[in-house]
Amino acid sequence: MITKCSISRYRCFKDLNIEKLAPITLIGGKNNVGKSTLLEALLIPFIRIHPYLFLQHLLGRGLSVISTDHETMWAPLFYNFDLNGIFSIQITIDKNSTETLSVDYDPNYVPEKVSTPDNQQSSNSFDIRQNYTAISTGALHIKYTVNDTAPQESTLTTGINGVHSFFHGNISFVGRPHVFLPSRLPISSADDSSRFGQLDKANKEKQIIEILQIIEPKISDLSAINIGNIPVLHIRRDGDSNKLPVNLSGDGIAKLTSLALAVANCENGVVFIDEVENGIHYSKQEAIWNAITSLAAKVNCQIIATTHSYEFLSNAHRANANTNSLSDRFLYVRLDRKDNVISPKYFSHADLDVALEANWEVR
Amino acid sequence: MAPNKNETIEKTKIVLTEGKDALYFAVNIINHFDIPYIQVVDSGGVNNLTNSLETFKKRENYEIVDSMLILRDAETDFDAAFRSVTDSLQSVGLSAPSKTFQFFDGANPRTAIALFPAFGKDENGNITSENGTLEDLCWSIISEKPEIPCIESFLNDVEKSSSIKLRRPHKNKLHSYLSATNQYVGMKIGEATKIGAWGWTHPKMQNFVELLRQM
Repeated sequence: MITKCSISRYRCFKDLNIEKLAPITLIGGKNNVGKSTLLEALLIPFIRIHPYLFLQHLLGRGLSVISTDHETMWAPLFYNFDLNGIFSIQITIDKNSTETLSVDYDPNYVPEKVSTPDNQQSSNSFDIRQNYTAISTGALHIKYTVNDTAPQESTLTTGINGVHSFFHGNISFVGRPHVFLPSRLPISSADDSSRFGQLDKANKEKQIIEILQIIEPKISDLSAINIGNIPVLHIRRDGDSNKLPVNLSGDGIAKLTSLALAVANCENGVVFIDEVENGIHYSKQEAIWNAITSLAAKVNCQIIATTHSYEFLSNAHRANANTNSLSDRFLYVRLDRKDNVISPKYFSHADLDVALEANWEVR
Repeated sequence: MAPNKNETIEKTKIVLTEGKDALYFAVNIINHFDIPYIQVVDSGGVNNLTNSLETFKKRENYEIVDSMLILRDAETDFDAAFRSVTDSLQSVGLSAPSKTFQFFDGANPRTAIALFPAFGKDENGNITSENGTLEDLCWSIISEKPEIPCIESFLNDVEKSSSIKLRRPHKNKLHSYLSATNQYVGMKIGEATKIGAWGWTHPKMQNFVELLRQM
């Protein structure tokens, strides 16, 4: 579990210290205060040797273009777009392991080779263009440190073939289970089906069906069926003659299916959820959140989620405060921006009791 | 229900009340005397003051607050009520005044405590320390009206002729008064307060008005 984090010069955060994170942490705050960016920052140490380290974030926000212009590509990662600085993200895991990832931009980095894309190499002909853009040099230099051990280093660059990681020396990394559920993109059917398959194999699929029944009591079965080459989850409803793809069953069912599968498959890991309330009607939120967080407790999965919704915050608070086994696992962190400095405020159940009773704004 | 716009901290002077009746009372007296720089915030009717202050300090914009006035009822023990409020202030790191109806100016935010009814002053000009409630203050303001003896008599008769012992006579008296009017019948105390059922310019309001003007 991530218990605290410290972020320096990453995107909108000049210096942000989150001194505590709970097994169930909701993150709130106004628009443009860095809620999604905080989620992304916390995710980075989990995927740190993947070449798509930072590109995952662009994709999650609906931007699927890779630029060979490094200014365009990398400057938004740095506070104030200042490529001369260093940004760092430090997380503490289970209070005893501290991992630090620091990144600087090396404008003079020269890749060892630049080749043409595979599809052109294998072709008998190729286009001759008059305006090939020069390939920029420069790269991100990434340094990982775990506790007091020697840093591990890699270089990340972009070229006409996409994104490349170069590792310096031996890199070792024990992957941790994690899932990132973005707010803007539909969850991949293949990912959902794969997660469902793991549960189905272990005869645990009923726990997902029971959660889906909170929204639709007639759901009696869940299975993965291929449409073309892609496995797609289908539900069976009592009384229906055919099974129906989950995605055609309504946004709420689709969202809840992905959420429940992510948590159930993330034993000892972390599920990051951006805008958790999307697609779920307020009247079901308390029951759903109670079920999801109970499942998370069972598999020791941490949930860190952003929300804009007062209704969701109220319902999540009630769902956890009224269940003994969950009441001490909850924290609400609101990010405030004042004079361009972003800082956290921490709200326990007791604080939310006061705020919600008094109808105070705490989003 | 989502909070309305007024529930964000927007002004530097905050009056913190407990319950809707006190909220309406403070809002309307402030409106009447046109003191626009004060914001009244209700901490809810059932919350512990320490918890309320702790949470209030975490709200967005709290750092702009330079004066806080805590409104409470003295209830049956003025001294205990005062101690309770000062303990709460100090336990969350706020300063506490040494007596009611005066600001402690040595810290930011400045703090003051108003314990109702507080409708009088002694011969030295000090505000008297009566037990009671905001409703007692309201009742004392209307107590010279000709119908008041009838209402008191009615409530006495209710207790005498039945086994009912009225536990909150201050509320029974005000509700009986409101029900015996054409203008306020059927209203809650807070609703009646909104449309001026009590005399804002009555001399017994002056202690509170003066304190508001010091904010």
